[in-house]
Amino acid sequence: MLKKWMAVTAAAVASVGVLAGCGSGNSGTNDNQASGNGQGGSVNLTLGMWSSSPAEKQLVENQLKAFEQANPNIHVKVEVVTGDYLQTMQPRLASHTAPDVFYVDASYAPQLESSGVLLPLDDYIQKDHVDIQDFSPSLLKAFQWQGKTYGLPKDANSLAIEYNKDLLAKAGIHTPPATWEDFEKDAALLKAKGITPLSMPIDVARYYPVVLDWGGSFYDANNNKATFTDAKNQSGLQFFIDNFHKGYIKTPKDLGADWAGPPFAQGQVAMVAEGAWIIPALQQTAKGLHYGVTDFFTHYGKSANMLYTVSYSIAKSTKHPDEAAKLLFYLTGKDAQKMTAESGLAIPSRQSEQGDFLQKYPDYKAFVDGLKGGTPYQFGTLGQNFVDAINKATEAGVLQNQSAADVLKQADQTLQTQTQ
Amino acid sequence: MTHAKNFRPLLYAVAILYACVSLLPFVWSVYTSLKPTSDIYHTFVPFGHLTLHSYSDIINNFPFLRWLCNSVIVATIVTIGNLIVNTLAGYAFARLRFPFKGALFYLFMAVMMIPSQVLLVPIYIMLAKLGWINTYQGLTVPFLMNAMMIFLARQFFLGIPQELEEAARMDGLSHWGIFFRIVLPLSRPLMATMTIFTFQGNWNSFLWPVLLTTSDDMYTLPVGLNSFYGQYDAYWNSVMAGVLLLTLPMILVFLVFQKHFVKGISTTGLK
Amino acid sequence: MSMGTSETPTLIGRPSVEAAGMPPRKRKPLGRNQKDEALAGYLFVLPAIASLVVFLLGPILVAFYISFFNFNFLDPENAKFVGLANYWHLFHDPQFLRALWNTTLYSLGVVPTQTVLALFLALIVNQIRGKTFFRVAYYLPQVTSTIAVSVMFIFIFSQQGLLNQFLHLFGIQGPTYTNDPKFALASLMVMAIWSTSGQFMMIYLAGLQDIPDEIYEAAALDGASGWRMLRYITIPSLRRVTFFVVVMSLIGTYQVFDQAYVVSGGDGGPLNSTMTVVLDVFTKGFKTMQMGYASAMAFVLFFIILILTLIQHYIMGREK
Repeated sequence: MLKKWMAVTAAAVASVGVLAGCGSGNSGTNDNQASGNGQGGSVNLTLGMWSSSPAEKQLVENQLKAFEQANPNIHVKVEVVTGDYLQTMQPRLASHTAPDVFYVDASYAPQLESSGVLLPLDDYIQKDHVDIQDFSPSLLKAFQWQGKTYGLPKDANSLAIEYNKDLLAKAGIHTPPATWEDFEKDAALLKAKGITPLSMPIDVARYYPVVLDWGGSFYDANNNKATFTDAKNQSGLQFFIDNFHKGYIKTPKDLGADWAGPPFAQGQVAMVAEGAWIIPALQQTAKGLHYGVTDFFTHYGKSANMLYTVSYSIAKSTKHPDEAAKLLFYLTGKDAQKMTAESGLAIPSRQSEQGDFLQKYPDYKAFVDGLKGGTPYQFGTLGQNFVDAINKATEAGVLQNQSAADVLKQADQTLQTQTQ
Repeated sequence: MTHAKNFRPLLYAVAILYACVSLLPFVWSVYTSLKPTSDIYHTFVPFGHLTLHSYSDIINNFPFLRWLCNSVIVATIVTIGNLIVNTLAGYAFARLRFPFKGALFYLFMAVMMIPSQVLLVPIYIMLAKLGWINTYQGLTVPFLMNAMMIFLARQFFLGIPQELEEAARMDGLSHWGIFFRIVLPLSRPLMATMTIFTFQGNWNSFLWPVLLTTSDDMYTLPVGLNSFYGQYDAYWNSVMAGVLLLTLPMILVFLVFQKHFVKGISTTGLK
Repeated sequence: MSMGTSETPTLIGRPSVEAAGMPPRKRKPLGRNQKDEALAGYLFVLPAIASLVVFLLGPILVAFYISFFNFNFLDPENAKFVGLANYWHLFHDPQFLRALWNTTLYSLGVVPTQTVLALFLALIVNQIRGKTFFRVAYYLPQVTSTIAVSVMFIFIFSQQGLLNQFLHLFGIQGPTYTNDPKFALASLMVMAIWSTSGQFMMIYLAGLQDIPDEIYEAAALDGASGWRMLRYITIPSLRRVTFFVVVMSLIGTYQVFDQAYVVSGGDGGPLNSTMTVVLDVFTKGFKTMQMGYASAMAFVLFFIILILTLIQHYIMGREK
């Protein structure tokens, strides 16, 4: 028996030995909360982010290098969250071990802002004379809650129509449709040739501009309330649902993919409505594809769009709010935004940098144009419950042939059962 | 065993058919991982286009060895710990008599029935207070016990004939002596099963390591490899290459330990 | 030689009966002090208990406590005591009820199929040449990560996928299975059965090694057929293992999350047809920050699994 235990202990010791030999040795046992004071008055900060591509991480690291050069007493460590972002941030915020500065997506920003885990920035903005008027106003507003600012937008995205030139030409179409009315005409031609005209998911994040263009609104921002049952919402939603029934729109799932990129890259669909994130994906996976990008369809001069934006925000638990604010203002400031523009990864949130960006990447014009008439993808603290309620109801509308009025009624009921 | 002789050809046919069903996706993963990125949306790619680029990309551009090393350390410690803790408990629940045994056993069973999603935040807060975030002890110590394995061990110990233990007891062996000298040597299939399951469970484990590690030098393999899924640009060749790099060491472990699925002395010793 | 069989206990997995003070075995006291045995028992379970108490008991109590509150971990100061309201609300929440229904269907579909398939595979692998190859082949799906498996199945079940191309040969035009409310849950079941049967096969395989050859030899001398040996020797001898397999499969299926999450993209669609209880718990706990409500859900699920396990226990213990 003693022998066995010794063997086991030996094995354990051996593995601890391997542990010690496992690379750099500074295995993070001490600097797990890298917000302590270093020597000589230097300060360590952590920056929390997700990374949609290695290039994005590279960009942030370059920006931080520039920041550290300008502020030699502040050191920043990057933490990339590779799991579900909110699921990771909730325990970290709850245990006061969140990164000092971190990404916050506009879609759930109000939930974090209203629960008091983010640091209000207004005093720091005043103190540092940050020019916040330069941000696209709707982007800035996405991170304000009850009169306070809890984050500054780092970049933005909007919807545009990407179209396959060859497929359109097959149906005799030489300029892509500009309005939803044109779209219906062209879609009939495409469908007659056996081509799927448009692929869009049944997701309010994509079709909400249609509702807005037709004069509806699902959400009352002033009262943080859902307004599904407003009669004005019906016509736009009905138009969207009808297009599915006519076979003019198919979901990416119908085409065997989880988003519209792959079917578009494979030439399975003539048009898709996605943000600028589709461009790098197409460059990598669809080298021979002849495609163009044009403005999201309009409706009698109305050109609503959906804005997707992410902020840098500061955890209220930070031990170094002044330095964290300095970092935040740098990352959302002109120099860092210039680097964002250069990289072509995202559209700068500062209007002053958008011109430069377009000069370098003229293909992105439709996305930048989209920012002007855009509404942030955000429904107050109703957040995911709101989105789930309307998405599920719309899905039922499409799959089970329900009217828009029924869909909206159902969404309203579902939302009520899901929030206490 | 003689009783299945007549069915032999049929048996092989079924065995091979099901092997195809279970191997097909694996083969598909290998094939996908060899596609160049420009061809990932094409179902069939000519043989000449296939490339090992996804693999070299992962190994060269990411701290792959470091992640592998972390995974090996964590999975090894957790597996050794689990083997000790769970077999001891399983044996006690199967054989020894002590007050509140049934209640205690059901306590372990009950723990398995609560979805871990609601325990995540409280456990995290506790580990953060201990200062264990982003450390090896954080990745190992909380996972040294597994109720499912205790249950498994108990069921198997119940199945071992008791006569040997009785004989040993008459020879004056203590409970510890019986367990280590008599019972454990009889339990090779059980220990092999537990090793495979525990190692694999920990090896593929994602939820906890992703929460508990904050710097990429502490990532385990699944956490590191998960950074290949972009939100919008999941390049399946890289993803599948990552999945296969993750799977291969596990297959190795399986190959080593499945050998112990042989008739134990538990039966032959009683002839 | 008969020792092995006579030992087949009738009290399979019934610790509660033993705890109730019934003499557990025909074992005679052999001069060893009962206190000694109890002490050894506690020492044997001590490490496991320590781990349980230190790392799990507190969090479980916290989760149970907050299930009576309107609770958000980000804002614990503003928690509001609501008594049983969370639990009461659950039974009027169509999404939760749907999730419970889906999960039950899923479990009913997966548990029996998986158990039979696992036993079947173990019997095959135990008898044929090329054991190692078949063991690896059957176990591989278990090793491959859930995400890879789900992605692959989405591919197989898509409109132009492998399954439909196969059906097309017979002139059948199939749907996109994972995106059709009628087939989505069934697709998940197939995926689960395929990917986890290997694990239970290994358990059966380990169990088969503990059945003494002598029993089969004796039965063969009596002229028993293969089928009768399976029916009267193998299956009864594996009862403890089967109890384990069924209970674990039950717990696993009632807690299904990964596949549903990946296949539906997290929303349980289409039309809530893949909404499972734990997916609902996850959404409420981590997306909408209603952790108190999510905890109530988790404890209702716990209670259901517990009841089902006890029923299982009762049936398997009483049989024979």
